[in-house]
Amino acid sequence: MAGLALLAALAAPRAARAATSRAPARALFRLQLDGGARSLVVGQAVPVTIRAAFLAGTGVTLNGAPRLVSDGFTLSGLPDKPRQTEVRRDGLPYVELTWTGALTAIQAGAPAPAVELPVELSYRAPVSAPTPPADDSDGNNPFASLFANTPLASDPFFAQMMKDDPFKGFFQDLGGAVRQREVTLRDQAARVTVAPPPQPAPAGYAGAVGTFHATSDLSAGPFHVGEPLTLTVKVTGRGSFSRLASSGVAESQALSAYPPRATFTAGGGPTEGTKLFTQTLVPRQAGALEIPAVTLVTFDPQRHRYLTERTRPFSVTVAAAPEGEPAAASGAPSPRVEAAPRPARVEADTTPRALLPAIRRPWFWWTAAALVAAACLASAAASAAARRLARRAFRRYQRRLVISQARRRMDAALAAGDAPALFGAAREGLQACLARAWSVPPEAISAADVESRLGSRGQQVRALFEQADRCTYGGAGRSPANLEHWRQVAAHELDALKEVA
Amino acid sequence: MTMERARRWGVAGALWLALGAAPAVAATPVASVATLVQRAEQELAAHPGRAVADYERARLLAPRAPEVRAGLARARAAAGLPANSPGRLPRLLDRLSPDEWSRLALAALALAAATATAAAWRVRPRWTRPAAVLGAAVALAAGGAAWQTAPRATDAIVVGADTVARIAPFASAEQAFVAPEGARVAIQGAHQGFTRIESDRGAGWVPSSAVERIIPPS
Repeated sequence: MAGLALLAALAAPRAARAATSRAPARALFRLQLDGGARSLVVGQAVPVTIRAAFLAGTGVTLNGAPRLVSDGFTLSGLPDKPRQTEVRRDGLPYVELTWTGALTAIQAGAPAPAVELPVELSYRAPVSAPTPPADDSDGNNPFASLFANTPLASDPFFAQMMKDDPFKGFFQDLGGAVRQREVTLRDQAARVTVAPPPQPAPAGYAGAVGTFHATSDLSAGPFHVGEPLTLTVKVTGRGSFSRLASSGVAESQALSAYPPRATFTAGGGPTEGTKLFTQTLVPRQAGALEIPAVTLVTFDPQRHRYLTERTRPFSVTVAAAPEGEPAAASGAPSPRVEAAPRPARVEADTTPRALLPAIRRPWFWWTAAALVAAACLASAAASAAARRLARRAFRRYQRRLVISQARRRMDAALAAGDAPALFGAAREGLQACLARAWSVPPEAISAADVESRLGSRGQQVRALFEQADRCTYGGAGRSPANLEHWRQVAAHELDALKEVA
Repeated sequence: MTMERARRWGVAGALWLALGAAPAVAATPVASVATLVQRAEQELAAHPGRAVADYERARLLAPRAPEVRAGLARARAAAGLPANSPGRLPRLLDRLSPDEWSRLALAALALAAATATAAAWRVRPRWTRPAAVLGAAVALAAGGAAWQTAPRATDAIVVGADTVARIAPFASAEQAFVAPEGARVAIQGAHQGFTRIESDRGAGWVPSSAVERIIPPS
């Protein structure tokens, strides 16, 4: 039988208990196993309801959640905040707090479970019965209660005027002092027997007791060697989901398997829900692949026997890895293709290397900048050199132009027998060549300059300059007779100076 | 080469070493592929987010290793992330590691610089000019690929399960979104045990222990 914690006398002083034997309970506490369970199996989870009701007007502070005080059970799934309702018991208003959770038996032969709830109650203690006045005359004094301790109490005028005391008993009706008390509400469930499941348990039994149903699903294809696929096993039902475990599909030559991950989603009731086992599998071989069924072993307390639930197996076709290997034909036997994971190669690569790529490191940018700068400098130098060469070529062209013009003029003068023109053209051509070599103005070069700079090498040039001066300043009578000779001399000197310049 | 010119080149080289090469030899995070893969496999079942982070690091070092790619796919699947189906260009970029792309870009740049110099000096311009253009193009393309594939220092992986991102850096702040484990995010800042992240779901503050930089700070 579920217990009732009666705290009726809590608020009343011990001396007044007899007089207030029918005082209402200020707090009620109750643990109830839903469904009226009497016998459980180790591992079986049953929904429980914990109710705590407090008389309206009682201040309540919860000092914690309901806690189980039995070693043979576990209590789980209690909400952080209880559901709060207003109810009436024996015609009195109560505020009721309700927790629902799952009670799981973990030990055979355990005593009935009990729960505790630490609370702090605050309430106003009822006053004791009023004592009759010691003096009858005081009882007739209408202001005795209010003015007893004032100077007016001895005034006969006031005593005569106020025959009945309107405040008589007023402060007594306001109640007694407010009291606070920390108490621990406790209740024990009715007798429950806990028995172990039948022995021997089948292989794969992890302790889940309840009624479960499992389905499975496989991620969508196409499937390739080395690419993971996901097998999902969905278990719904009612029972101890926390003890429901699955080892998933075992690893084989054709399949790499990783331990399944479990996620639980609570359902409508404390012991109801859905548990998902998600397992990652990696095909190692191309061709037809059989993914075996996943087995779940549970104990059904209603039928009182073990049940083995098997999901459906899957038959898929695995193609070779995309890196060039030919895909296996559907249904046809395929050559064994090496699985993608080749740990030996990776494990051999134990050389520590920098994780930070070069492009994120300063030296990369410095080196790139140095290369670009070097190329720019070299190109600039090449450009300067090219300009220098072009200038030289232009000068050479100008010199050749002057020489060719001088020759044409000399030829014309020779044909005309004009000696001043012939020597004048020869001198201008020679001055132009020497001026570029000596970096002086052409007209500033005289026969004396030629002698001083060229010495014996410039003897013919000096002679040409002197002949030109004679023709210019001496008139036609001073012209030499052999103009052809002088024309050849001038041409020879121009050719020689062309190379010197 | 005169002594004066040699001295100038020596000073320039020392300056280059001080500014450019010295940070290169400074402490940078190092790891081996074997260590990363081994650690990722150990963490795959219990902490798939950490496994994703380790496989991302291994992919930086060995992008063509099929076991690394398969392991990364497994870790992502174990973390509940959708399968990655990159397009043609990302697949092409993944053929080389960011470091290899970087070095290829540098080599191509060196070739471009050398051939451009030769072309400027008119040394076999018939060959050097196209080589310079080709080198510059390869350098630009490889540099772009390296820049695209190299993770930033702020790139990180969510390693906490069901990490709640909040709108402010304290535990009682309002929830912004849930960052899935193994997802790639960008770190934007940190404040008193919280890190601000930006993901495709938005930006928010998560506990600093819930994210791990792909390239750990040295």
